[in-house]
Amino acid sequence: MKPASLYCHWVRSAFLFLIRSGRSTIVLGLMVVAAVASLIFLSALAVGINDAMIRNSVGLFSGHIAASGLPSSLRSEDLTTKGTKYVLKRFYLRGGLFIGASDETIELIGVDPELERQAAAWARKIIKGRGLNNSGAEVLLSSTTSEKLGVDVGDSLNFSVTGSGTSLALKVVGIYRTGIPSLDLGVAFCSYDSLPFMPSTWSAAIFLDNNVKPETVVSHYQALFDKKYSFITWKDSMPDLVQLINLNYVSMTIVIVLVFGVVALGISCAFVVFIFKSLREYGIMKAMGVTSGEVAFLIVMEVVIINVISCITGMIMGVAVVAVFSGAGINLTSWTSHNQYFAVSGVVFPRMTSYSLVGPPATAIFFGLISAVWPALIVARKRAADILKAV
Amino acid sequence: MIIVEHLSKTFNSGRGRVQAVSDISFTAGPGATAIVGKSGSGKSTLLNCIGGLLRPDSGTVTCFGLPIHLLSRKKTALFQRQKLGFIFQYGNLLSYYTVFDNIAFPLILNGIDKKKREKQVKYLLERIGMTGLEKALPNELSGGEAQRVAAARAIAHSPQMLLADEPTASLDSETGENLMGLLFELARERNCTLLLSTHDPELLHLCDQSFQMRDGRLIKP
Repeated sequence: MKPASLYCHWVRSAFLFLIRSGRSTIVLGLMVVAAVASLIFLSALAVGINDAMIRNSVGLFSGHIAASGLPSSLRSEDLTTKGTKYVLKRFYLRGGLFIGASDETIELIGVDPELERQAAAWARKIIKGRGLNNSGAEVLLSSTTSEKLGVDVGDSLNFSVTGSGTSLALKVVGIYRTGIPSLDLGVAFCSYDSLPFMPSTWSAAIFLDNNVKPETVVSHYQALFDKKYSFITWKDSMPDLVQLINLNYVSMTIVIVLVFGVVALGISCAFVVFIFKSLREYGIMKAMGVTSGEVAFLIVMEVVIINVISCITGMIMGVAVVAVFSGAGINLTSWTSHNQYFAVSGVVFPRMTSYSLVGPPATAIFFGLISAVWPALIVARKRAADILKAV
Repeated sequence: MIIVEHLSKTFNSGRGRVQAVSDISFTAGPGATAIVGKSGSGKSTLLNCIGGLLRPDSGTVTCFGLPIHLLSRKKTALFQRQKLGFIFQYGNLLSYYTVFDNIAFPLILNGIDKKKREKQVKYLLERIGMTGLEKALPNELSGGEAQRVAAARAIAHSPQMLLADEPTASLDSETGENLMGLLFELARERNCTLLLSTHDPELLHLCDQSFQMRDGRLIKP
């Protein structure tokens, strides 16, 4: 028999040891299955939370890519490319809102109301009145601004553009609240038609399809416009969110390593018991001329086989649980309602990535192998007579 | 030929240092040799030292020209798998293997190909009267059956030397007698030197020579 066949024999023997150890194998296997499945779900949940934070942050107003100072000669269609879902054109006019003795300095943003409602969540955050229409001199105020000015839906006020002396009357048709200070303070919205005049430059909020990298689209724009305009991805405009997401990944990795560190100790102890249960077998084998290396190989094979089978089972279970929740989502609104990164929705959709799928089983196998070293060394170093005398 | 010279082995235990084997010398030629002695006389320790399962504190063990006491762990293992068959007092068999796998195990270790292996195992099963029980697991066998399988396994790879440490200790007298008959037959058939430890003096008439042990010493060379 060639050495390779002898190794096949040890692999077969490892299988037999596991199969005929019945309950011990099942209990050990279940520990690994439960750990892998739980951690796959937890990592998918962490990815889902990151997704939700990104979705909420970009979906509220700014989009995945923002651009400003775009000339009126450039049309929004010019920014439509592969992977872009919506290109929202916005005009900014700085000025003051006046009613009676009250006044408030704001930036009036001229928008396409219908497109904003489709793409950006802020336009659906109306708490009183209605949203904007495409025609008519209407304005949408935040609850904070309306309280400061003491106006309500149906009231009229004046808007005066800073530096131009131009003024116009606007009717408050709705009041919104996002919970985000940058949108609730110092801004108001109206349709393009309501603006007293069109500014020479406009800003764009570009929303992308799922799984499209903003960097890819920005690179395309840079090439297309020869770097004439500045495009900023959400990663550049929201470094705090990027940090939070990275922190989430780091903490998840630490959790995986810690969980498996603890599980590995349990597995290691269980394996020592498991191996000691078969100590007599290894003693007999050694007395028959099986080398310490071969005994160690047999033990490591037992650990590898039980780990691989348990990891595959755990992966299938984990994927199944993620699949169930990724469809319906998990509503975490009770824990996220005051969090700016969940301003739109607190529903989290767990999502599988290569990290969440491979990380837990890879860690389980790594720690499983480490846990095999101890019992393998114990058996390999003992002489056959000592083992047989001890049992 | 097995040559043992001035062999001593001491163990540390709760009772202090125990001299299990003390300055033993003898030569076992071809055929069967019995080491007779009461329980605790040092028979098992002596057999373990000869079989390379234990390393003696002093003295030498030479089996068929091979200095067992000097061999490295790996070379000892090689000696055991190629030239030695061992039968223990109880619990001989690998419980996770079937009867067939147990007998085939030394053949696998020695690289015998599958066809020859199957032929050999079938022959031995027939010789020990256990044809049809190939797939049985050790826990499904009686004590006598288990020891017959152990005898077949010990002899399967035709070793030069067969060490049997009180193989009938766990059996009733009739089953023990049958097993010993089988063991002697198989050893003779394969031209194998049999070294047997027992506390049963009745087995002496089956052996070519015998030695008596008491308190770790050989009292009748």
